[in-house]
Amino acid sequence: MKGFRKNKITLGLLFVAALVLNLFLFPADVNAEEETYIIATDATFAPFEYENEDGEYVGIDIDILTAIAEDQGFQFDLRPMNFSAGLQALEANQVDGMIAAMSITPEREEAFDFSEPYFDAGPVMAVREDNEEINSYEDLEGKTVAVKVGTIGAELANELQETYDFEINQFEDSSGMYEDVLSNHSDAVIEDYPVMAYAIQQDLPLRLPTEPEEGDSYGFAVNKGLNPELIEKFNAGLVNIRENGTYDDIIETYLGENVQGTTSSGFFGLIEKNYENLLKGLGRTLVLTLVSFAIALVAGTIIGLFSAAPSAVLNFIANIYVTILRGIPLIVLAFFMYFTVPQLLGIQITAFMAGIITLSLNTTAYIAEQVRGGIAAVDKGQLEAARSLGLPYGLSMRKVVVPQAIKIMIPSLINQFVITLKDTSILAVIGIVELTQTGRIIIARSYQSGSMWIIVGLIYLIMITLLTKLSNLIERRLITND
Amino acid sequence: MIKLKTEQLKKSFGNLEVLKGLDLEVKEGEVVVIIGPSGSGKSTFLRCMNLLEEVSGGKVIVDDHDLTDPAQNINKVRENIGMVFQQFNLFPHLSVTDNIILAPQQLLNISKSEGEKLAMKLLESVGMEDKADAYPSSLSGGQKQRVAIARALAMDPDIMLFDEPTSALDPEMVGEVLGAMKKLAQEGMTMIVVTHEMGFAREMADRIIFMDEGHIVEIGTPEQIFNNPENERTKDFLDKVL
Repeated sequence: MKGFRKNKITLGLLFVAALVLNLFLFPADVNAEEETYIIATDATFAPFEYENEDGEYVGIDIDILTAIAEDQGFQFDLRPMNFSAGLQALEANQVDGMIAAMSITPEREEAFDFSEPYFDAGPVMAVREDNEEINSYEDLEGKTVAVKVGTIGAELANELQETYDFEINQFEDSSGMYEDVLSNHSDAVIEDYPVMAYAIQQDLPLRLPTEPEEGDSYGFAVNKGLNPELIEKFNAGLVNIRENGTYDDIIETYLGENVQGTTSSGFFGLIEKNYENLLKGLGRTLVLTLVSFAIALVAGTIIGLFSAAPSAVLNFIANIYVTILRGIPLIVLAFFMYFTVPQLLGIQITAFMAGIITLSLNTTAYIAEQVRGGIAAVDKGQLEAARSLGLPYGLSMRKVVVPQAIKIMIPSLINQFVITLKDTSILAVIGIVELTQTGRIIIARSYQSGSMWIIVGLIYLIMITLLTKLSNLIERRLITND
Repeated sequence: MIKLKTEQLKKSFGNLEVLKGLDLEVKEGEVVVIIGPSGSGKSTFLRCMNLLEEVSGGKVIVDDHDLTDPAQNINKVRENIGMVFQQFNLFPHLSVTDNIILAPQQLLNISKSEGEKLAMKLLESVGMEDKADAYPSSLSGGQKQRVAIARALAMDPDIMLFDEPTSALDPEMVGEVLGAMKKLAQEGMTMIVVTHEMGFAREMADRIIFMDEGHIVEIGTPEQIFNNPENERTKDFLDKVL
C-alpha cells in the first residue's frame, strides 16, 4: 500500500510541476487596473506579424494593436499560432480576439464580428525569379499552386482552378509556401500582396508576373456577439492613430521605400543570431518531453498493470483506454484538447498545458502496452512462486514480476522516449513554440530555410543521441546487477 | 492427525476434465509420493492443494481451513504450505539471501539482520551457505533447487509440496536435491511429492499414490505398490519405469 501512495504523490507532484513550469514559461501580464485580452495572431506572417531576432513579436498588425491598446488603455496577451488554428481558437473562446492580416469576408462575418477595415490588400500570384513560363493565370494550366489554408489566396486559387485546371498544395504557414515554390515543388504561390512584396524586398528570389487582385480589407475579429467593447475600442483607437500619424509611421516602417533587406547571414551567422531563441525552443521541447514522459510512465504503468491484472473489469478499462488513445493521431488529440475540451467544459486552458496533457495521454497508451508486454514476458512461474509463499497478488507483482518486467521494457521505453521527444514538434499546431516552431519562426524572418532545417535537425539529432547514450548507460548498470 | 485433505476434487481445463473427483488424506509428518504416467494429472493435483490452480469442484482442506471457501484468506494458508517447482522459479533479480527472506520480510516484518540469520540457517540446512550473496544465474541446477527448498521453508511451513523437483536437473545433480528432501522428511515434515524418482519413492515414502487419467488408481505402502501392485495399470506403469 505504501508504494501505491507514493505513486499518487509522485503523480500529484508532477502535475504541480507542470503547472508551475507553465506559469514560468508563459507568464501572464497581470495588470490590476487595465483589462487584459488574449489575442491570437499568425506565428509567421511578415511583415504583419513575425518574431524579430530579439524574440519579440513585431509587424504591422502587432504595432497597430499595440498603438491602439495604448490609446484605449487596455493590455493584451499575444498568442501566436498557425492561422487556421487561430481561427479555431477564436471560435472556441480560447482567445478574445484575433489580428492576423485577416480579410473580412461574408463567410467569416457569419462566425465573427469584425472591426472597421484597417488595411487594404488583395492576393497576388508569385513565381520563381527564373520562371519565364508563367506570365498569367492561363499559364497555370496543369501546374501546381501553393496556398495557405483558410486564406483569401486559397479562395482565389479555388476559383481559378475551375477555369484553369491545376493542382493545389495546401500549407499551414507562409514560409512553407515560399519554400515549396523555391524548391520547385509548386510552380506558383498565391498570397496577400503586401506580404509577398515584403518577402521579395527581403531578397526572396520570387517575381510577380501579374497585377494584385482587387483589394480585400483586413479586420480585427472577435467571436460573434462576444467582447463588443473590444471592437469599439479597436475602432476608436484606429481613428485616433490614423489622425495622429502613428498609423502612417507604422506602415512606413514595414512597407516604405527605405526598408532594408535582411542580408543572408550564412550557416554560422544564422546560429549566432538565433542561438538564444533556439535554446529557448529546445528548452520547451525538453520540458514538454520530460514532464509528459514522467506522467506517462506512472500512468502507463498503472494502465499496463490493469491489463495484466486477473480482473475482467480492469482489463476492459485498460483495453478501452489503449484502443481510444492509440487510435487517435496526436495532432487530432492536440486540437481536441485545446479547442474542443475547453468548449465542452467551459474552461480555458493554455496551449502548453494542453500540449502536456495531449502528449501524456498519448504516451501513456504506448507505455501501457509496453508494460503489458513486459509483464507477459516474465515467466509465469515467477508469480506462482511468489504466490506460493503467501505473498498477495499486488505485492508479488511489485516485488517480483514488475522489477523483471522493467528490465525487459527498458529498450522499448528508451525508444518511446525518443518518439515522444520528436512528437513534441506536432504540438506547434496549437501555438507552442518548441524547437521546430522556433525554426519556422526564424525562417519566416530570415527566409533561410535550407540552413535552418539543417540546424534544427542537428539539434534534435545531438540531443537524442546524448539522451540515448545516457539511457544505455543506465540500462547497462541495471543489467549488470543480475 | 489429518494435515491436508481433498474431497471429490475436480479440475477441468475448458472441456477437458483432468481431475475426476480425488479423495486423499495426508497425516501430519507423512511423506506421500505421487507417481503415474505423464498427463495423468499428478502436477495439477498438487497445484490444486495450495490453489495455484483454481479447482472446478470438491474441496481442499488444510488444517480445518477449506481453501475453496471464497471467504478463506488463501494467502494466510499458503504461508503454511511451501512449494518447490520443477523449474526452480528463483527470482533472478534478487540474491540468494533476498530470495529467501522476501516473504518473511514482507509478511512478518522481520528486520534485515534477523532475515539474514534466518537465511543462513536455512542455507546451512541445504548445504548452500557459501552462496548466500550469489545471484541465481551463477548457480547450477542442483544448487538452484536447494536454494528453492530453503526459500520454500522460509515461512516455516507445516506442509511441503514438491512438483517434480529433479526433472529439470542433470543426472549428477539429482542426488544433492534428493538428499536435502530426505533430510527434511527425517525431520518430520509433512511432504507431498510428485516425482519420477522411484528410488526416492521406495526409500522415503510412507504411502505411494498411483494416478492415471485423472483418477487415483491405487494407494499403498512402497512395499505394496512396488512388490504387489493390485491394479493392472499400476503394474504396466512400473514395468515400464523400473
